[in-house]
Formats: sequence, C-alpha cells, structure tokens
Amino acid sequence: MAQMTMIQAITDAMRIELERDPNVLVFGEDVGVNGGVFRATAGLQEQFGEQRVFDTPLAESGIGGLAVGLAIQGFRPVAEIQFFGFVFEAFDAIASQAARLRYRSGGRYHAPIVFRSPFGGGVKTPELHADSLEGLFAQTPGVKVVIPSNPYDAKGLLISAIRDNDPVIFLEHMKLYRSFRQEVPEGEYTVPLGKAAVVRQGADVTVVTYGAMVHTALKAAEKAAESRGVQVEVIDLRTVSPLDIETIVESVKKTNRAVVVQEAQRKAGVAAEVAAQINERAILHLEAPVLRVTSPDTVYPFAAIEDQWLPGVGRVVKAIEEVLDF
Amino acid sequence: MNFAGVFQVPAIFFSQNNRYAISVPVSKQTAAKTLVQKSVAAGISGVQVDGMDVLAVYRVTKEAADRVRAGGGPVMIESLTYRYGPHTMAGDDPTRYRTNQELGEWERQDPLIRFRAFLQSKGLWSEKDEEGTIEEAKQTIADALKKADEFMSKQTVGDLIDVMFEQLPPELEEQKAMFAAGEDR
Repeated sequence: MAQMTMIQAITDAMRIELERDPNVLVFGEDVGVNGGVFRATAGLQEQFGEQRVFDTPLAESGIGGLAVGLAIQGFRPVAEIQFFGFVFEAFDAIASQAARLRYRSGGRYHAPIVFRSPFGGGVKTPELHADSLEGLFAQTPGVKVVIPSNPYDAKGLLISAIRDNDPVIFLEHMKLYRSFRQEVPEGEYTVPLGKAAVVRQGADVTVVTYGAMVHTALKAAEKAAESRGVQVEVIDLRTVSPLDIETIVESVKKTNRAVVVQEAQRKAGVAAEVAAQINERAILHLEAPVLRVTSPDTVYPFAAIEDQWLPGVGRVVKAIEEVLDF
Repeated sequence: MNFAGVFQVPAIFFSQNNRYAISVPVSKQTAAKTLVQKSVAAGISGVQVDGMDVLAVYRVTKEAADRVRAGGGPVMIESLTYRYGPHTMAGDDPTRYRTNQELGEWERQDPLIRFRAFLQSKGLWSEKDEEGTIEEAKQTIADALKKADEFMSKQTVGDLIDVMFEQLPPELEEQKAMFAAGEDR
C-alpha cells in the first residue's frame, strides 16, 4: 500500500493497463514528452515508447476520430481531452461515432475507448477549463460517464473503464487531483462501473452526489449532525451513467428524504435524473420533495465569483434542513 | 479559409507561428513544410514572413490589407516567430520539451533588439527614449491592472445571470432572486 494523490492513482492505473495489454494506447495533447499538463501521463512515454504513448496535433476533433478508428482496429485507446470544456470539438466523434458504433454494426464492432479529462471548478481557471458537462454525456445513449471522488476509486474505476468494451467518459475533478492522499493498493484492482458507494451512513436524510461535491456533502452532513443531531447518509454515485438507482432507492426507503447535490448547472442534469427516478420508484416513501443543490443556469463564471456560484456547504445544509422541516 | 475563398471576403488570416502548442512542436502538428501552404488548398493568396523582423511584418501586413480592401480577396500571412516563455504561468515548464540552446538561437533574432539597432543606426532612438518608453509602459500596465481589479470585485452572480438572455426566463429570475437574497453558500 502506498499513500497516493488522485493524479498519482490515475497514472498508476494507466501504467498497469499499458503493461497488461499491448492494445492499450495513451494519446492526446502534450501527454508524451511533457507528461500532460497535470502530469497524469508523466513517465509513461519514457516507459512504453512513442508508439503507445504519444502526442497528437492540437485538435480534439482529430483525437476523437483517431480513437474511434483505432478502436475499430482492435486497440483500446485512452484519449486525453486536455480540459473537458474542449470536448465540444470532439462531440461529433464521441456522440455520433463512438457511441453508435455498436448499434450501427448490429453488435459486430464496439468502441472500447476511454476519454479521460480534467474538469471542475474552484481552481480559478480561464473559460472552458472548469465546465461540468457530464449531463450532456449522461444524455448521450451508448456512453458511460464515470466521476471518481478519491484516489482509491479513481484507480479502480479507471482500470475498469479501460477494460470495459464500450466508450467511457472518465472525468477527473481538478480540485481533487492533489488535495489529499489516500491508501491505494499496489498493482491491479477494479472498482466496478455503475456501482455507487455509501460513504456515510445515516437514517434521517439521503444526500446523493458525486465528484468534488462528495466532500462538500460530507462536511454538510457533519454540520447537520452538530446543529440538528440528524444523521445524513451520503451516497457517492461514482458512475453517473448508468445510474446505480438500487443503492439510492434502498437508502431513500430508509431515510424518506433526499437531496441531490451536483456542481453542474441545474437544468436537465444528473440531479434531475436522480430526482425523477426516486419519484418514479419510491414516491410513497417520501416525506418531502426531493431537492436539488446545483449551480445556477449560466455559463461557468470568471474566477472572481466562482466561489459564490459553486454550491457550498451552507447551501447543502439549508436543503437538508428544508427536507427535514417540510 | 475555405469559406473566405468561396465568398471572397475582405479577411486577413494572420498565423503567429511560435513553433509550439504547449509542448508539441509544429513538426508534430502537421507534415506540411509550412502553415501558409494551407492557403493554396483554400485557393487564396498566402505569404510567409520573418516574424522577428518588425518592418517585414509591417510591410506584408500593409500589402495584404491594401489588397483585401481593394477587393483582391482574402490573404493568409504566416509569421515565423518563437514563444520565449512558458505557455501558461500555471505550471508549464518549457525545459521539459525544448533546449536552452534553441531558445538562445531565437533570442539572438529578437525583434526589439534588431529594431532598436536599426533605429539607432538611423539616429532615431536614444537610451533616453528607451527609458521613457519603458516607464510609460509600466505605468499603463499598472493603471490597467488597478482598473481591472476594481471591476472584478464588483461582479455578482446576478450580473452573470443577466447576460444569459435578452429577456430572463422565469426560472433564471428565480435563481437570480435566490442569489440576491445572499443565500449562505
């Protein structure tokens, strides 16, 4: 066991998979000699050579197209989109090519591609670097969307994603890259895709969340325990598409109250989907409406106001109180 | 550029080719020997210029502007230059992907040094001129930074919501009111 940051765990997962399977390829902008703008691929080109870990020209559309073509030829591409806001350029390759390959070929071909990308707010980046665009991909049939909240899960989920035979969008919250370390086992292990984790047990309110907001929700749960003596259960989705609705519904049947927290803007996102499914499957267990805590429906703001814009502990506590007092 | 050629618009495409994306050199961006030859494929005129030569850049840009304004169709200019510093101040270390020797070779062609030598040789530039220009520039930057800081500190989430649409939909009105109420974050 070693203490690792999330970015070290991600590098470790790629190294293990590059070693295990000669068809795994890692590519993207600045991932070769430079080792990636966040050092996620540091040392990998040196270890595995330029044929397997390589720089691409500066064109996300080309990176997406290359990944699809290589996947059809039997490779397992791990393509980096340098910042997730740049994915708009690759949307065509992902949504209209990779996601539809299995369908279009009647199951003869598939696209075992991982699109890795840093995203998320709170680190004062310029425009198109911090956007939470997971909702767009959660609504895209044929792709999975994975968002780890800690180093252990990041490594196990990334290994699962690389071994998965369908396209996976793997989103790495920039604020979590180096914010804390955790015990991470050496060598290979997997965390299954599509399985949520109950990261805090409680009987009074269920908070469903993912990514960096897991840590915000845990702080809010502590506060609610101190101020109201209530026990909040926190569920880390880990995979936002497909959704582990079973774990969520099981928790809501116990607590009868739910709050969904996401960093992304409010409309038509993962939180809306979670709330809808709770209503469909457990409405008679609810003592209060399912509330959402989200960012407002604007483009991601400039650095000066991002701390006001992003959901914080106070907003989550307020929503917890609202469902308790309904 | 293809559209510009088809519609014969009065446009100049100015490529400041500084040799690198972040770490990836132009030789790994394209197998084409130049960027300006992309103008051939688009069917528009193109010119490559020494981007480290102030007067040469001025001349080709002026010729292009005159041509475009006279209805001669679009022009692409590729200016060959170099990025001395890192791509960003947020962690980019150029020593990981290029040599100091390469940097030194480009610094010797620095356009400011070359243009100063030219002006001095014509008796058009003195040390006093240079000191004055530098002081003025420092003051301009300091003033601009101060002004920018003042502007930023007044921004609110409400201001941001206001610039999403000409007319705010009810759901955004509601979100704006929530932020205006100073909700505890």
